[in-house]
Amino acid sequence: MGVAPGLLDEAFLRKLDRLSLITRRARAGLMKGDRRSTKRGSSVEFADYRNYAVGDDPRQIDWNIYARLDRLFVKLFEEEEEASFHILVDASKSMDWGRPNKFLYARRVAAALGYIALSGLDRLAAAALRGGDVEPFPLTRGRSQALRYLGFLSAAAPGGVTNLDEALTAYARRSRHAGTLVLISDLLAPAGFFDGLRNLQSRGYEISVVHVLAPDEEEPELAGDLQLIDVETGEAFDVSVDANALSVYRQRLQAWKSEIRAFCHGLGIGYVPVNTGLPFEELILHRLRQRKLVK
Amino acid sequence: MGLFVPLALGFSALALPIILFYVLKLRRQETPVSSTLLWAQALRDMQANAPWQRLRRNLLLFLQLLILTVLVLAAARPFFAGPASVRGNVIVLLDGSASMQATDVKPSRFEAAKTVVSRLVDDLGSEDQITIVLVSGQAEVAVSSSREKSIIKSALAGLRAKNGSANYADALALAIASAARVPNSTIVVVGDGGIGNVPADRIPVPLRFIPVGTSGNNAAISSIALRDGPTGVGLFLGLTNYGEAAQTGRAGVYVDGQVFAVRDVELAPDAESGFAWTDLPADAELVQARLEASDDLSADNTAWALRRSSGKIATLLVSKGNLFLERALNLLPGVELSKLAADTATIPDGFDLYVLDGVIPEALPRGSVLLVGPPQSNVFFDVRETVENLSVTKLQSDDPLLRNVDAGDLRVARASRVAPPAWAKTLLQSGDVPLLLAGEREGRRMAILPFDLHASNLPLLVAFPILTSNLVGWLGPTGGPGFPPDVKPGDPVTLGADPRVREIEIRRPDGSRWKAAPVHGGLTYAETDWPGVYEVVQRLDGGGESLARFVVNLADPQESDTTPAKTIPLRGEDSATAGSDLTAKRELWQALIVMALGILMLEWWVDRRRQMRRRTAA
Repeated sequence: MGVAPGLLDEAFLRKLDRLSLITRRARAGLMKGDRRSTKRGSSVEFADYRNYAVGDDPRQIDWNIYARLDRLFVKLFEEEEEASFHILVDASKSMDWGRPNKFLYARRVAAALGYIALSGLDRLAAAALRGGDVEPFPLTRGRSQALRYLGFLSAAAPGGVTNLDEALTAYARRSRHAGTLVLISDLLAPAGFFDGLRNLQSRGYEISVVHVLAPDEEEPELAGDLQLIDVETGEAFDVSVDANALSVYRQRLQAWKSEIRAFCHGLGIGYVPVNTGLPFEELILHRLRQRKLVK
Repeated sequence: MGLFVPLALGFSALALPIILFYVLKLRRQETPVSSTLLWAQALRDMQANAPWQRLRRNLLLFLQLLILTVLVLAAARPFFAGPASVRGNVIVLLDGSASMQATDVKPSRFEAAKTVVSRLVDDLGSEDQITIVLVSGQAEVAVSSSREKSIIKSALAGLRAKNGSANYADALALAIASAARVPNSTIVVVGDGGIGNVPADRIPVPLRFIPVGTSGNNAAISSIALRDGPTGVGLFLGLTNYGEAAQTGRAGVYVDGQVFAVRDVELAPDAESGFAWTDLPADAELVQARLEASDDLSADNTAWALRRSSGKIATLLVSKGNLFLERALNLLPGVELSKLAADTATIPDGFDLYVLDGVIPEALPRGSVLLVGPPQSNVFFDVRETVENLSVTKLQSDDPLLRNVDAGDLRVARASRVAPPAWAKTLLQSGDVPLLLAGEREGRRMAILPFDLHASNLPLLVAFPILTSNLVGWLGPTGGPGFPPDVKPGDPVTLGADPRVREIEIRRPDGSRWKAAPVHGGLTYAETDWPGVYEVVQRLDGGGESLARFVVNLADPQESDTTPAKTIPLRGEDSATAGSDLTAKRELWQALIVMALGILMLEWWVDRRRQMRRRTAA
């Protein structure tokens, strides 16, 4: 894989490549039965061959190939109604924060998920949410689109005040191919985002939320008499930070996360809180699989 | 606990500018964060416990105020009092003089001093030792270099204050000698002063003083005297108020046990007031005066005076005829004079005093002898050549026999040179020729005037009757006019010059008795500590006894003035530093300064930590 111009560095891309291999191998075992059961017999368009494995339907075996090569292959067919994979990345100003940077981290996760989706023959749509607007990456398919997708992510720049509600509702309105949707955001949206998620879900999206927070948001390293400036809104707050204030903040943070978790649980939305301190391979390979986001 | 400079507490006002600066200083540092969403919520939660929050937030202010408090305290120089411990070889000079009976400290100064010493003993380590010297008329070693605390304590508990005046000269000499033997010695004086001027260079070890006593409220009978006057017996009483406030009291006079007069007295502070009674009964013998006043020391509120009317001195004048002598002797009130011609072969026994004028028998009679112009040598002395034209070149003016005698004008035309015998002292002399000798020999008092009175101007001098009176007083028997009129507590009394006395019994004021046989007719009695009347019974060889009395009066300005000393004046050194060292006003400012420095470092650390956090946060 070549170097994406601009942003995602080579080391990351190499990592991504390796990831796609790993996930592909994992996916091969995991996704087989699932796709077949829903799309059985409905597809006529040949897509690919695959080694026969115990448990495969013998009717799918290509006997011609068997006669020629004396080996069992299963024919794979393109589904008619393709699975769409939607990745929404919050590109508000508050995302451009933290060490490691939340926005970079979010884009890397988006890149990894998108790459996996593209290489898995799914259709991929993506969007950067900036303010109430949506900067879309149109629905595409095939590995060949991976570079374009990465270019889109690289070019995405953070800015503006998030209005997740509006952005999510707007995305819900414009999309005609509902499917799996992953929202990668810090959810630090003053106007809230619950309605947007509800709207999306009512359109038939199967939603997962990757909640990205920087380490210094979870454990702020602040002390003394401070005037906190919100980088997104420019609002200022006078706080005298000491051990007690920090503990109150942490309690508040946990309560907030619990609230979101409870909301998501109620709607059947997958909720994955992520600290950007977590290596993203770890996130992709383990955390997201644990949460059934990646199969 | 106290403050040397309470005014320094005014510096606390500096807290105001500190708080003001703090309020002004509180410019918040601008810190960008990704979102204030959560902080805004957290801030709402924190408002609930805001006051406590504010306090904790102002830790730096609190620390700065603490530093200020500690520094202000240090500037006020706080101290706490308490006895400091002494180590090594401790020599305690415990004042046991009369003034230590004062009750300005309850139950008495002496008991308080014992408590102080007891604490010193408690503080001793196992290697330390203590010597306790009780200082009164004499210096008594109560405990000698002991380490056994129980023994020391019991010895200490047995000590009582006496009535004498503190003899620090002896006590210090003893202490210095003792301190010189053992290294690491300390002399600790516990008392109310009266140590006098101590030469610092003579004391080779640290000298410390623990003052006892708080106030000097005392009135005393400072003098008492009986005189025969023209209208009767007169009593003079000197009352001194040593305190700083005027005193009213009541002076009572008791004659031979009966109340004679009671008078209200008003005593000006720090002054002596004189009171006189002139009409005491003619036969008054023992007069007691009592001062009833509310003061701290009662031992000096009673005094006694004796009138020597009892017993005449049977005196025999053996002379070729000496009008001067005869008249002088006849004028003396206590003398019953008999005369004998000089050429009498034998001199009869039975007289108290023999005045031998120009004669000397083979054997001197038993009794005191006054020899005037002895013509020849005797077993007691040698008479040598005659010398002429003599005048007094040297006289022992401090001897009681020459009291009030102005002998400077004495001129003697002819005198016999008497070799001064070892037993006699020379009171008057001209060059190397003695003109008056006196002494005791074989229980007999003897005085020698080695010249004929007619060959001198002595009879014409004012000094003559006085000298005669002094001589008769001294030569006369115990209980006569020569008996010590007034004894200070603790002073030894020499009794008895009469060789016939077989036994002497002394009845003390507390009723106890003391008996002894005289040695060479004389006896020294030293247990005169308690003020009061002492009766001396002298039992004679052939039966019969004589009764004499003497009185012991405290009347000692040094002891009656109970104003406690706070320091010991050390000659050649700063007395203040040498004095109150052990009264242990221990100052705390050093510790406070160290504490302030500690808090300052803590404050710096807290501040630095905050800055570090801000930096990492930024």
